[in-house]
Amino acid sequence: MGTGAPLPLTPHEMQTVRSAIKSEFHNLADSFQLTSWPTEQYNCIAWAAEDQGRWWWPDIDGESFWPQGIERNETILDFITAFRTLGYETCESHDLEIGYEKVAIFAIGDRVKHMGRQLSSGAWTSKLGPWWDVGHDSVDEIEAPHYGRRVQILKRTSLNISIIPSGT
Amino acid sequence: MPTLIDRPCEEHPSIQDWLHKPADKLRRTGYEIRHDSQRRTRQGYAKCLAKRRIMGTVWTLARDLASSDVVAARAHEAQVFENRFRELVGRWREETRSISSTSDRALHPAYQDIIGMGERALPLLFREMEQRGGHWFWALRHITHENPVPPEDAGKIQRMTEAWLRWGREHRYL
Repeated sequence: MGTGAPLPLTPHEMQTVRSAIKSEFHNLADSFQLTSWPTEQYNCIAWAAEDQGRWWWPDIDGESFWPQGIERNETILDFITAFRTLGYETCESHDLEIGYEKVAIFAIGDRVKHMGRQLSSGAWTSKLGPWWDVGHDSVDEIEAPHYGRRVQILKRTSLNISIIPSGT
Repeated sequence: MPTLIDRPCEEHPSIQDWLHKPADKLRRTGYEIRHDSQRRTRQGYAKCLAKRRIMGTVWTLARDLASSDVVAARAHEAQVFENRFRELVGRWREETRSISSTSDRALHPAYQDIIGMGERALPLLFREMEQRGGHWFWALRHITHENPVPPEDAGKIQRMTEAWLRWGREHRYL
């Protein structure tokens, strides 16, 4: 999922889905890609955390997954704290930095609504609730009235760096 | 439609009639009525009244069961209920399709209306969950006041769904 490989949709189906997505996300450039089928097994937060097995959210009833010991609040600070458990720290730039992985937090006021993740190409990927995963060139393309605005970038050292043995 | 109890008994339209009729008969034969006889007569009337009440209830039930109008009306009402449920489900799915927030999804007005449909909606909810999936955990918890999902399975949608469907079958909602 989310590999960027084209989905086996007919041109008509593709057009219908793209139109539906564009109707909610007006800022998406025409170059956005559908990268995986809708699934309710995980959401944007899980997708940003690279966990496709759980639905992440800090709901007070404990219905969704949330890292143990982290406050179940929907504030930006609590999302930052949750992602610290995965090795992320706050940073300023959303530009691609070799050796780092980045995620972006979107919020309305102090209430988090969405997260996206940067791909190694520098493009971004977002899971739209239980709907489609989409790839988009710019992080801010996914801003929408119900997602709010990008409020924070987090980064961590890339876990996918090949370590070259010393002495070679 | 009046039940049997609403209709006067042809033989004894009232307690006065019940009390006096034997007395009249007695008077016609020249005897005076006695107090213990009146007491027995009152007890007899009470028994008759109770019997008529029971028969009235039985008669009403039998009439309702036999009446195709009532059966049809109830079927229609059930269909209206199910249509309302389907409409709310469709609206909720459509309007929350890109929302990740568990609380925003559960607090959507259509979802709250489904919770408001109460226990009667449970068979429909379980069937919807079984056939099309959906995060109905919040609604099920609030309607049933139960939670069969162990804490370690929080967020594991497949396992949560299985746990609820199992619960639904055990409690004969599926």
